[in-house]
Amino acid sequence: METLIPYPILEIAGFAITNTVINTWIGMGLLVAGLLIIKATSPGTLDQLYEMLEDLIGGLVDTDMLNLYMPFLGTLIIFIFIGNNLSFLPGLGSPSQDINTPITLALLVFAAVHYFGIREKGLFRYAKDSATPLVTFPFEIIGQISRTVSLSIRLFGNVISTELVVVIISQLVPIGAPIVMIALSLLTGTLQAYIFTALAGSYISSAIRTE
Amino acid sequence: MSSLSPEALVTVVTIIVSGVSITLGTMVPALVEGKAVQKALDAMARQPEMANQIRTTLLISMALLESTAIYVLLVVLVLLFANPLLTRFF
Repeated sequence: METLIPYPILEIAGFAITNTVINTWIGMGLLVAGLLIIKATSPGTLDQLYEMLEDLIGGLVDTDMLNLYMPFLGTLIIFIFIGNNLSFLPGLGSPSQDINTPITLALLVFAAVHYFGIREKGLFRYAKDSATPLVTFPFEIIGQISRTVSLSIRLFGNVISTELVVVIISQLVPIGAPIVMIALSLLTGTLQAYIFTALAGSYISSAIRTE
Repeated sequence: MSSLSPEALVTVVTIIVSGVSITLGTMVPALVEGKAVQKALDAMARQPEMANQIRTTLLISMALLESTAIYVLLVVLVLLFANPLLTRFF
């Protein structure tokens, strides 16, 4: 249980750098280094990867200007996917183990939904569309808050529950048994990355929808 | 029951409540997910060309249904391992 609580490793200019921040930096470094290596050795692969990502994200948000939404949704899915699979390397964990990372990502989705909605429809029409049946406007507000909270807790809960089971099992049977649970955590981590992005895509779709 | 110290009483009630809530909280989502899988398999058998779309929808829906079970697991884990009520009143 002690290893699941984030602990500070060093201090830079008054900010405590916890192990979560180190994990995030290592994940970012791996991603950038991997992409630079792919670009240097075979640039065609990079185009193919981008097209695969476009196919994947294109099925999540129904729009004809996909290039506008590709950076945000593509970054979400790649970051959460790489982060959850960092358990491969010894000593590292997912950055979503800390409650702060999923909360930040969910707040980013909340801000992005309103940004894309206002960008697509203009401020006045966006506000009018969301308040059109005026009796449901309070439920709209409550729904927005609950969507954000549930998005963050879903990601955090899935990652932390499998990590906790790994910690407990490795105290009972130190050799061999945690491998199965780590494999399960890789599977749920990948699925949760896709679910997070799919939900973000569907929220954005409902914000930019004009009918 | 009244001869227990307050901390022991809170601990006993926490244990009982955790056991009951994790049982109920994992039974209900599992039953509902089984029904969803049943309907999805029926639809896939009836229309094999829509199998991919049905499978994607099924996976997303099951992850959403699973999230309520995760909420229950989170609360139970907090109660068992980092119970804040043991230190608040005593």
